[in-house]
Amino acid sequence: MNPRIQFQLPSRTHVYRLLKLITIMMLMSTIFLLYTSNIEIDEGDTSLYHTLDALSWISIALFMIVLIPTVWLGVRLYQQRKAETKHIRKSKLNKQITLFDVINTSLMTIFMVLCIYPLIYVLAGSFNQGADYTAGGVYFLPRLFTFENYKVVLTNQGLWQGYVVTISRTVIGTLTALIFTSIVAYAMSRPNLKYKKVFYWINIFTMFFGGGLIPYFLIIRSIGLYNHFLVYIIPALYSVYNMIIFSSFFRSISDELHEAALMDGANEFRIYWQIYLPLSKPVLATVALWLAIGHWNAYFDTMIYTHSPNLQTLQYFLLKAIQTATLTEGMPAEMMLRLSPKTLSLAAIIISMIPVLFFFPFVRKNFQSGIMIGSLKG
Amino acid sequence: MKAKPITIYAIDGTKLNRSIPKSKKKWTTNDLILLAMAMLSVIFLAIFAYAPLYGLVLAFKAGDGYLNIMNAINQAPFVGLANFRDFLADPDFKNIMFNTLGLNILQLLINFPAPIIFAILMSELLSDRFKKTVQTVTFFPHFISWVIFGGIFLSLLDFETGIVNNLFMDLGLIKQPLDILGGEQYFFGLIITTSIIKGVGWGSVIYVAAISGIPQELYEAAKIDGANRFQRIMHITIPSIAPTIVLFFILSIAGILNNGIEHLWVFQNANNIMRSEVLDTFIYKYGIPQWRYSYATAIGMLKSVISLALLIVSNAVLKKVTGKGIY
Repeated sequence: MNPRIQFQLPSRTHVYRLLKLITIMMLMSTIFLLYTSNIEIDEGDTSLYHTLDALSWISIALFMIVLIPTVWLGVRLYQQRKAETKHIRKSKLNKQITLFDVINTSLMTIFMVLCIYPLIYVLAGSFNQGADYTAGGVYFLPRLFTFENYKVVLTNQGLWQGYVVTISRTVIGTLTALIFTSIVAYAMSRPNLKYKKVFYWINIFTMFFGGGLIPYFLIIRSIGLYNHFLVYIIPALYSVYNMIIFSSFFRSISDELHEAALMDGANEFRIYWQIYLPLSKPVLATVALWLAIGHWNAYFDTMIYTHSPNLQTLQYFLLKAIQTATLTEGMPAEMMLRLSPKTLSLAAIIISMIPVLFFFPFVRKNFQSGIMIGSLKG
Repeated sequence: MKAKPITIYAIDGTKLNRSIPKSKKKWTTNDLILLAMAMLSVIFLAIFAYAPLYGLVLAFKAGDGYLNIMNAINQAPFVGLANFRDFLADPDFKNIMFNTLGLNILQLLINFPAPIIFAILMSELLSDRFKKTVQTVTFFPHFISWVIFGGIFLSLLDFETGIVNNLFMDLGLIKQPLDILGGEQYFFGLIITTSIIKGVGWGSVIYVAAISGIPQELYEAAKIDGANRFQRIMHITIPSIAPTIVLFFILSIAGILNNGIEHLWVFQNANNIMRSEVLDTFIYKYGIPQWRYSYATAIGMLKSVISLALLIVSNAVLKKVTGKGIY
């Protein structure tokens, strides 16, 4: 094949993908604008409707403009691919669709709907006016559209405080725990570690027997971590389970690298830092993800080990908002008539989910490219 | 690198240079560095895992009601097993044990096999693209915290406005809305269902990885031999992932008395307390807000001991049955 064409092909598909993404986003915003300009909006006056109308016409026009090249490129690419793969005969053996396949596919689809529907429900509720929502029946789309829930929630000081605490504990906690755990794991993975058996049993024992909540609380109190930001970081520095995952990966790295580095005069810490750590990116990514999810979602430690409102995490703030309607506290009575704590907490849920929604595609991509397979085999 | 001393043998095979002392091992800097690296874990565990074991003496003391927990451990008098006896005599004892064990056995029976079945079903999907979509979508709930997920379900299952009740009413399945969140009879079902929806996609990752490691030739050979889909699953897929299943089964038995407190706490309320109170929530409620340190420690200790015993027994049984264990 001509090398020039080979070089061109991927760039063209990239352009196509980008265009496709833009088209889909344009389509979604068009639908959204069309929809909002045609429903009842809480506190909406004619000028708002006019702007929405104008916006929706503009976005329709833009959508059309993007749609044409996308379709053209898509058709061209499809034809090209078809021409290339024409000679490849597909095996017929795998392509018999049976009743089992039909049932299986529909089961999976139902389960997917179960997983994704709650999100749609929350989204619809969060854009609906509070008093209207309590009448029931808001399931897929908001009935009385409003941004007021978001306005109220976004001006809440506790939410931002929670955001800051949660983000800082996730970033700091994940990084420090990764380094700490992998240092120990490296030592445990070396066959020349002295007293390896002793270290091993000291670690393993803690996996199966612990003091329980109250003695742990006692330790947190007595070393002065109670009601301190570090209570989120230090106790989460190390976990035996992650250490085992790490060290089984380190063990799979060829020993010759280690020997060569020793010959060159590197010490063990340097070998760990400059050779083993860069080589174990897949497992680092996996464990980092586990740790980050754990940090982001934890709320019980806030409940047990802190009492100051400055240390409230986002999740704890949400818990209070959901359980005890803290979002409507101190609100004027005429506002209370229109807002309901339920829609407010739904809006808070959406706001707190935005970072997760943002990171999810990256995570998904990495995980599907086989990171798990590599790192969990050990 | 130091060369090993060469052993010299006499012609009849006896060692000649036995006099080289074995204890003359010299510790290099690298040995010390490695030791220091491993010592980090010992220091950490000494504080956060072994020091709390000393706190277990609280279980044998009358440390309830002290304002400062440090005074409770230092000054309270010994009372022997009184705290344990109190718990056994507690009117809630039966209930709590029933809930803890009931929930866990249900989870072991339903939530443990669910990801395995899910992974197998997913591996049988024909289209790779659809497979990826399923995986992505079912991953998603795992990334949301129990607070958010629970909060969403609290609205979905609401007595008046929730979609579940309205849907069932419209379908004619029920006459009156069910008070799913407040009714104690629904609590177990609620917990099991929510943890399946949240956890199955993520839980199946390990099994999907294990299944994708099975060589494809096995399936092709079986196909040529005339094995149908079900037979291929039963005789190739499941035996191939059996080691993974056994490992995770033992680990989940060890955690049988842990009922994911972050999960239960969201759904627990005054109406369903009869079914939603488990050891973990009970320990927390008595221990921290009510200052009954000794009582809560005693219950926690009981829990740890039972879990350890369960782990040892299940490991021994599985070792005998399958020849594999975790230690």
